[in-house]
Formats: sequence, C-alpha cells, structure tokens
Amino acid sequence: MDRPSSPLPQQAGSGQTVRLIGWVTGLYLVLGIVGLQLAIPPSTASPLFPAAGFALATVLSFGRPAVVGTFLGQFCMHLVRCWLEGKGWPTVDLLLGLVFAIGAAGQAAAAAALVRRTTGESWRELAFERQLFGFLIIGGGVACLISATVGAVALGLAGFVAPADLPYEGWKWYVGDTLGVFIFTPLTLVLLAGSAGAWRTDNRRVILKMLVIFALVLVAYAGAGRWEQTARLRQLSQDGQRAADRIADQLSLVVSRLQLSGRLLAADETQQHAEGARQLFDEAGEVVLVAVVPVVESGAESPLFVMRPGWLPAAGLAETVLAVAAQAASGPLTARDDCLLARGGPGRATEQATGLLLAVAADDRAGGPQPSAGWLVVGIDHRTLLRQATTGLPEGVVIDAGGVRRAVAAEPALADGVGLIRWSGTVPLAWLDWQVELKADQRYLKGSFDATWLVAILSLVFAALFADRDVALLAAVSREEVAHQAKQRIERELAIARDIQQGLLPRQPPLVAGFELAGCSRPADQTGGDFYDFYPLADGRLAMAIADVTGHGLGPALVAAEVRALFRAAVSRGQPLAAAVAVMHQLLADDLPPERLVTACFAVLTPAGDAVEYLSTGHGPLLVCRAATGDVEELPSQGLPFGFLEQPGGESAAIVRLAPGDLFVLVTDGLFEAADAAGSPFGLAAVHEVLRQHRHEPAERLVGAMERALAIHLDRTPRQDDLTVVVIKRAAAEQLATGGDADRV
Amino acid sequence: MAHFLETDREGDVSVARFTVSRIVDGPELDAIRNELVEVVIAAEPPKILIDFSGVALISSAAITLLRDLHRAVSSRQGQLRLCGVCPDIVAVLRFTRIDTLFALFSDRQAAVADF
Repeated sequence: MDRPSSPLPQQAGSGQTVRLIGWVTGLYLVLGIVGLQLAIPPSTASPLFPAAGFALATVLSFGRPAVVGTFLGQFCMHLVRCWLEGKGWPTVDLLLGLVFAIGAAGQAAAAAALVRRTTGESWRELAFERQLFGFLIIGGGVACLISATVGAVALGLAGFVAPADLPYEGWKWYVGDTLGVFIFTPLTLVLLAGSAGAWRTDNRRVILKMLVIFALVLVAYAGAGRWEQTARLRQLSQDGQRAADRIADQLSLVVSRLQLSGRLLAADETQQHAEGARQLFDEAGEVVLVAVVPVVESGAESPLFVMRPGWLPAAGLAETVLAVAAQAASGPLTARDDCLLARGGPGRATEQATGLLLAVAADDRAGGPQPSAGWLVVGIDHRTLLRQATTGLPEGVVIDAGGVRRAVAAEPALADGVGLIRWSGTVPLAWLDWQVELKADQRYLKGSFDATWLVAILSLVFAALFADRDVALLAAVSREEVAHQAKQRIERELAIARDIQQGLLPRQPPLVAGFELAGCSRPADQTGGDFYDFYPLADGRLAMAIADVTGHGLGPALVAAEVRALFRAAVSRGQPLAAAVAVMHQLLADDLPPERLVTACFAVLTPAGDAVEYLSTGHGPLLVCRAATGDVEELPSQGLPFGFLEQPGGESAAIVRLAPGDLFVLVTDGLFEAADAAGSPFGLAAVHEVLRQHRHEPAERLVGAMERALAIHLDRTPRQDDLTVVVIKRAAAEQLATGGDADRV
Repeated sequence: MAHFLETDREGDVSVARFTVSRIVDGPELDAIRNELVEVVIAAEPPKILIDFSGVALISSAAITLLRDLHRAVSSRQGQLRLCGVCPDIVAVLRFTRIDTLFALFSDRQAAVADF
C-alpha cells in the first residue's frame, strides 16, 4: 500500500515531529472528551472511547511521536475533566492523570507492536477478513487490557473506587477502549489513507456510512440511557415512598398507643394503671421512654415518673420532658409552641438530635385544652425508627427523615450528601410533616438491570463488526480494483510486447528463385518463446532460422528476440553457417538464464539451387517430405541446444538436397506435442500424414492445412505451448521448367 | 513435502526412480531438480542410475533437468546411466541430441550391469 496522504503531518524532521505530536495530542484530547460525555452514570467509564482507537491507528502509522501525543492527550484530558468537575487539580488527581496517560500510551504502543508482530505490515491493507479479525482481536481485545487494568488499579489505590468494584470498573473501561479500537482504528486508518493506496476506492462513502452507523448507535444508546434513568428513578421513588409510609405507620401506631395510655391514666387518678399504660409500649422497639408528668401546682416541683428509662443517649431527656411538663403547667399547649392538635387532645412534639418526644394530655378523654391529670410523654429513638422503616431497602441508599440520616450500606460520599439520583417526599403525620429524602449511589444502581450498557455493548459490537466488515469489503474492492488495473496494465504491456514480437516475424515470406517459403508462429500466451526468421544475405542467398526457447510467455519472448538479433548479426558477416552458430553459442552462454534452453535450426538457401545447408542445435525433428513418394524423413540434429553445455563442441552444418516439389519442414514441439482434452498429443505421425496429403499444395496452403489439422485434433482445447511451422518447398518441376520464379529472386 | 523420487541401492549404484508420470513446467520442476541434485551429491561412489520407467512425458523445459543432472555428475566425475526411458522421451532426447550425453538402457538390471 502506498504511504497514505494523511491529513496529519507525516513523520519527518524534528519540526514536523513536534507538529505531529501536537496534532495527535489535540485530536486525542477532543476525542477523549467526547468519549467522556458518553459515560453512563453512575460510572465515569465510557462504553465507547474513540480516543483509544485513534491512538492505535496513529501509533501504527507514525510510531513514537504518536505514542508521545497519546500520553500528552490523555494527561490533558484528565486535567480538563478535573476542571470540568470543579475539583481543581489536587496532587492525587495529577498523579492519577500521569498513571492514566502511561496506561493509554503504553496500550497504544503495545497494541501496535503486537499487531506488527503477528500480522506484519498487512494492517496497512487488512488484506483478508481473517487478518482484519486478528488485527482487531489483538489490537483491541488483547491490548486494551493494559489501560483498563492500570486505570482501575490506580482508581482503587487512590480510594476513588471500592476494591469490590474494581473488576466492574475495569471491565467497563476495557469495553470502552475495545469498542473504540473496533470502530475508530479502521476509521482513522481510512482517513489517514486519504486518496492513496488500496483504500482509495470510494472511501468517502464508507466513512460516511460508518459515521451514520455511529450516530444511529449513539441515538439508540442515549435512548436506552434515558429509559434506564427513568426506570431507576421510578424504582427509587417507590423505595422512598415505601420507607416514608412505614415511618408514618409506626408513628401513627405510637400516637394511638399514647392516646390509649392517656385514657387509662386519666381514668385512674391514683395512677395505678401506669404499669398497664407502659405495657402498651412493650412491643414498640422505637419507644425508649414512657413518662407521666402529673399536673402540679404552679411553682411546685413536678414529680416525674419515668416508666421506661431506656433512652441511653438522651442525656438531656429528663430536662426536656420536664420542660414540656413545665410549659404544660404554665398554660395550655398550643400550636404556637410547635404543637399540633392531636386527635382527642393537645399534643406536643419536639426533637432532639437523636430522638423525638411525643406528648399528649393524660386526660385526653376530657377533650379540653387543659389537662386535669397531667401529661404522658414518650421518647422515640429516631434511628431505631428509621432502621425499622428502611428494613428491606436495597443497599446503596441513604434516607434522610426529619433531619436524621441513615445509610443502608452506602458509600461514605453518599452519606455526605452526594448522590447520583435522589427522591424526596413528605411523611404526613397527624401533627407533624416530615421531609424524607432518599439518595442512591452506585451500589443501589448496580442492583438494577444494566440495560444501557447491554444495549450499548451489543449495538456497538454489531456496529463495529458491520463497519469493519464494510472496511474489509472496501479494502477487498479496492484490491480488486488495483489488481484489475494492474492486470489491465500488464495486458496492455503484453499486447505491446506481442505486437513487437509479431512485428519481428516475417510479414510475408521472401521470394527465392526455385523455392516456395511459408511460415507461421502462434504463441500460447500473448507472447511466446518461438520465432522464425528469414534474412537475405549480401551474396544473394537467404538465411532462415527457427527457434524454440523453453517455456512460454514474456521471459522466453525476450530470449527469443535476443536469439533472433544474434542470428542476424552472426550470419550477416558472411561467415560459414557453422561459424555463425559457434558465435551464437559463445554469446548466448553468458546471457541465457539457467532455466532456459534454446533449440534452433538455421538454414541457408541458394536461389535456384537444390541444396539447403542447415545446422540444428538440438532442434528437431527436421522433416523432409519427398514429393514423388510422400515419404517423410527425419533428419538428425547436429548439436545440443544453446545453454546445455557450458563449452559446446563445434558442430558442422549439413546439406539436404531437395528434388522438385520436395518439402523441408521445420516445426517446434508445440505442434506434435499439443494435446487434446484427453491428453492425447497430435503426434509426429499426424504431422507426417498432413505433409503427405498436402505435399503438392503451395507452401502457404500446406501451413494452413497443418494448422487446421491441429485445430481439429485439439477440438477447442487451448494449446499449452507455442507453435511454429516453417515450410521450405522446392518449386515443382513444371515451375522450374518455366522459370516462373526466376524474376522474383 | 512431496517426494518426486524414490531412492534405492543396487550394489554400489545409487538408483533414483521418478514417482510422477509427467515432468512438465511448474513449481514442481524445481523440487524435482533439487531432489536429483541431492541424489547425485549423496551418491557414494558417484554411480547414479536414473530410472525413468513410469514417466510418460517430459516437456522441453524439463530437459534442463537432464542438463543440471549431467553437470552435477560431471562435477563429481561420476557415472550416470538412464533406464526405462519411454520411446516418446527417447525421441525427444534424440531430436535434441541429448541422447549423445547419456547412456540409455532398457531396464535397471542392464544399466546396473554396465557400471
């Protein structure tokens, strides 16, 4: 893949390195803050942290400067987060920021190293789906354990997360980073690739598609979050209302017992029923004191009968009870003194830090404003009351009722007033309304179904897979496009090579007195290793060559071109044929690749003669078909192919004499070895038969007959080798007699 | 890894027999070439018999095998015999004059006896 034309500066000199670090830092910061906004309360961890994916892509693309940028970006993001939360920058948070930054940078560096170690440089193209899968598993699934582990442990050590909650916090952190890698690493790589490389095909469409998917997922995720918040608030309000109702029920029961006791005492002026009245409260655990304050003369000391002095922390209780009594003795208790009228008589409520006093007139039966017998006072342990009322509430809540607070296995921060969600309501007592507030922390919220996380994870995983699949498809399409273009380019070049090679073949056979010449050469591919050539010599003779370079295709074609050039150069000097071939042996020995051999046959024709001088270097069979009888002879080769021996011996040329109408036919093995679909070769016998049957026809028609016979044998089966046929026919007797060709020399 | 040659000993003669019926162009050609050269290198004494029985076709490119075989044996100043060469292949060797470099025998016993 070409180096991407990235929107980021490329790695180069120190100035550009600083710029690159700055870009990575800034973009990581922005993406990190966006990721933090996606965090689902109560957690501060985001289900999707794009910066993690961005970091991996940039470290893969730019190396160490991107690691530094990731470190700085993460640290700056933490500072911004502290500032947004109004915490300032305490030392512990600065240290946490450093640890988080080390975790993020280390994760990106380790992920890039793992990807490179396991997939090499294939991440640049994500050439196959399996590679893409491995890339994401290693870069996301494995490497993201680093930052999550470092971050969760740091939060635990700093005391921000309870040890029991560390695995859950780490898990959410891990999910966010992993999904960030799943979506944003491929996206960033596509963006970094720009218009270069295998990504270039239609990447805007894919980027847009991925962003739309991302936006849709966010909408679904936000909707799920809102739904879950509503459900959680509804649950909290139900819990709060249930606790408030219990408080009201218990206080109403106390008041009822108090009123009943008052009637008992009022009916018995000797107060002999006091014990009975006290027994009414035996089962009321929250009532820790029951006292009777009889009416005395003004100024006289009020005798106090403490019926149930169990209120341990109430150091000032006696004084309070006496104050109530004194106030009652001095005048009727009214609403002006924080009194509300209880049913059946005046009542008195007062609070202490730890309790509640309720008082009713002992002669409640009279119904008048002034009691005749005295006051009945009960002390209620407020905490006991709340504990009883909140029994059964889920853990992780704090209830605040009437100014007294009780935490149900809640975090310390929650007890101090910081709650993630809260509900408030009123307990309607007969004579007193209490404000009740319920606050919940993470432990309470964890008890409910974590639908948002589930929706977020599932949708993002599907989105990631879909988007990444799209990226993989894009890469595949791009690769196909690149491969297609490369193929087209190669085909164009091969077509050019074919034209050049075909241009090296004789356009039409030369005219030589006393002979007919014809030939054809058909490569199996665009180009081939066969050729034939005619070259007129200065003395009026004609040199001819046929050659077969082992193999077929462009390589042999180049060798064939060289052999043709050497042939022309060697014979043009006018030296004997054997000497020319010896020169070719010498020159080709240095040039031929080890996998190439060249068989060739060279011939020289003298116009109007009957002899053909020839020399074959491993090329055969050399066929002579006698016109008179139809017999076909196979002449032997004189030497070994070019390239076979390092120091070939000198070969001598031979002469074949042709009677009028005789044929000297040179073919390559692509003719008689050409096999049909069943694997049956055309064979030399068939070649002989064609020569026999068509020996009286002109040379050109004979070549055509040979091609037609082969085509019939192959029956559309493609040839696997190049095919060349050259026919040298001595003119028939009647032609020689008329001298019809003499003027064509 | 596929093996294209079976090796054997006939007295002090190292015998290699092709396990394929066609020796043509392609990636297998180099593997066959390497196995042949290994046979020559390992032969001690360097008396090598290549058994072509079962081989029905060799392409022109495969003739380079015989060239490399000839060079390898020559470098060890060894003796090389071919046997079991089918008529079509003998014809190819004859056309190319390669038959002049190798001693051809109809069967293994005759070839071994000639060393």
